Amino acid sequence: MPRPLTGCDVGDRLKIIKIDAGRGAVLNLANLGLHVGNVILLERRSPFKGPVTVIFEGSEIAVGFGLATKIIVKKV
Amino acid sequence: MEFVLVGQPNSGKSTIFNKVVGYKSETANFPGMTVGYTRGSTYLNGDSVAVVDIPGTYSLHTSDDAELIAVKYLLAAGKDAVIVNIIDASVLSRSLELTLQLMDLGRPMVIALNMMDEAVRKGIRIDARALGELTGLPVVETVGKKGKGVAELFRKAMEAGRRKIVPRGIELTADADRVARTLREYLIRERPSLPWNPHFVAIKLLENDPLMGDYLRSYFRASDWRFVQKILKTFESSHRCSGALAMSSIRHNLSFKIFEQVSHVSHPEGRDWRIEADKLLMHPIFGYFFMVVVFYLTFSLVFSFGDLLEVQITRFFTGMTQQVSTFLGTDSIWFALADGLLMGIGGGVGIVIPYLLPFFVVFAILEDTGYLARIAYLIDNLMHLIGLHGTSVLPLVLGYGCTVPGIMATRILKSRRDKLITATLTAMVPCSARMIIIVGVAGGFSMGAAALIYVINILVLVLNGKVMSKLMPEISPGLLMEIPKYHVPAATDVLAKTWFRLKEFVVIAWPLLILGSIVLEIIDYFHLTPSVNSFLSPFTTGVLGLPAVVGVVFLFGILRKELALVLLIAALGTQELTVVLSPVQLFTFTVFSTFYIPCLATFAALSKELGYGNAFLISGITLLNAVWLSLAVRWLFPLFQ
Repeated sequence: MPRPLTGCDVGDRLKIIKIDAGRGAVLNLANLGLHVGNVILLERRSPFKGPVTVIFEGSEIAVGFGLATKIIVKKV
Repeated sequence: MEFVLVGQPNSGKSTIFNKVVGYKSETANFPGMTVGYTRGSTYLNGDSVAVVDIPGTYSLHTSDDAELIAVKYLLAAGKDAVIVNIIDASVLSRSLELTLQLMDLGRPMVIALNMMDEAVRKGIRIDARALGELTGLPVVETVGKKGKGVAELFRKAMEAGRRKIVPRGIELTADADRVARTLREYLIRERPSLPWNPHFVAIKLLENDPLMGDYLRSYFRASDWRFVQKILKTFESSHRCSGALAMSSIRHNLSFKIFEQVSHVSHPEGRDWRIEADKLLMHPIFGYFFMVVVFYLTFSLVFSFGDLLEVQITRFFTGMTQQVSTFLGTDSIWFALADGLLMGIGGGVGIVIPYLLPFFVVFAILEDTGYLARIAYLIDNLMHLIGLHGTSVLPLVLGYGCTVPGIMATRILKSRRDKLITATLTAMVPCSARMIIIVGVAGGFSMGAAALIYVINILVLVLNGKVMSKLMPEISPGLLMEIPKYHVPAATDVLAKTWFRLKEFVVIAWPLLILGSIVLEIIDYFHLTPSVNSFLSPFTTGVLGLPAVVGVVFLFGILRKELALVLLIAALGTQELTVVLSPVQLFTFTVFSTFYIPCLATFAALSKELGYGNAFLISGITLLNAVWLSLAVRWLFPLFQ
């Protein structure tokens, strides 16, 4: 079931299905390797709508809560 | 010959730059732009060569200031420029995406596989020769921090420049190549006068790049744009996304393919202690605990070091003034000028050496170890309270040292709104000069009172941030940043960073400080102080309930904030402030001094970064805050006594 990145558990391996953000944000994510179709690992979450961090190809990327809700993923 | 260092953020690019050029470098700005590049020179085989460090960038698509600078520089670089592409070998696949874009420029180029030690630790083995054959470029393995391979890198770069070793064309996808070729051939045929590589322009047109669009305006006719638009439309509809994203995905896939071809990944050597460390340091509860400890240690270190030295420095300059007075006598205008000059120089030394130097060193260490990025992560949701996000933490915390580099650091923010709000708040963060007032005045009453001012300050920052973000309800792009691996910072990097931040104080603030002191002395010489005081007394006495003598103190606090305390003591004629001023007055004075109009140097920095209009706006906001807070203190304070 596709769901936003913020609705997943730490340790989940997730495939990016869709990114519902503006052009600029999508490109900024792409620059860090977060393209649709890529598999990422949810490494960390923080409470109170704080950011999450994901690992893609060995680098850890912090994504603010707002943007993370727009990244739709599926568990693999 | 000129070597242009290009790489993604955290690729170790600046470390290599500092190793080669060191402190001899200077930052330079593009006209009308505030983000700069760093330029220096060094000797290579007896020849003097220029080395340029442009801001780290993930791609050459011009969507933020750093990328804009990078692309502008690369497009304007002279014929003898060689691109030195620094790659973090431990994230080779992602790094190659930038490499592919640089290759489109068709210029002499070399590749540095930097941080090879890190790659090996992660179990990645890279065949540098295979990568060299694929790209047609010299590839050198380096460990920048230890200086390993750096000499070899620049030797190869020199050779690439001499022999004009340019990249081999790499096939993207059949479709993208075909479209790019059509555009390129059109450009060569119809617009042969373009000063840039037609292949690069074609790719940028496919990406609908804003900067290239601007640049081409003076070369293109309407028919050219129609042709480009037609091609772009077909390209975008066949990829079902923007041209920029399509190109980005194509390069992403290609980079991964190259990565698979040239490297071999095995299991990493043992568990990485740094991952374990982050379990604590980025923990939702303990993380904050460690952060508070780190901040506390930072500030207490700076403060105790500063306190120790400041006394000595003040004593030295007072001695100098006395020496001068024996030559010139105390009632000549020459003495007034010399005294002002000495006070200005002494004031600068008295801030730079005791407070700024240790603060910036510690700050650069925090930054280069990678801990600052973790603070940004930890503090992100707190920053949401004030409509900002984690990235703003760098300017705000720097502001506790000196507001000028704090304001300069707002360049790292992508959105203009975020920049404006962060700069306003940074202007109100008590810098080390204001710390002297807070500790000296409120602290004379009690240390708890001084601490209270800091707490009130944070609350006021939150309030202002909230109001400003409500007034500017634009959606901020939010936090998006790589959390770099922990590193032992290289001493050269820490020193270079410290020097650059100090330089911002020395170049912008110090001259104004000296000038301000001289003006002060002249006003004193002509006995204008009483008229200034009586002119300001409706405000100082009427509104704030302070003695009229503080008028001149506040006025000159704009020229030099840290002088407010010295001037107050001089104006009142006693060190024992608590005797002549009531607790309410002490508090009102401190609160007003902390918040009202940032010093002249801050104003200069604000206008440099955000324009005069915004500098005046921010000054107005700070004054407004100072007034309402002082009134609140004046009327509310007696209720608690």
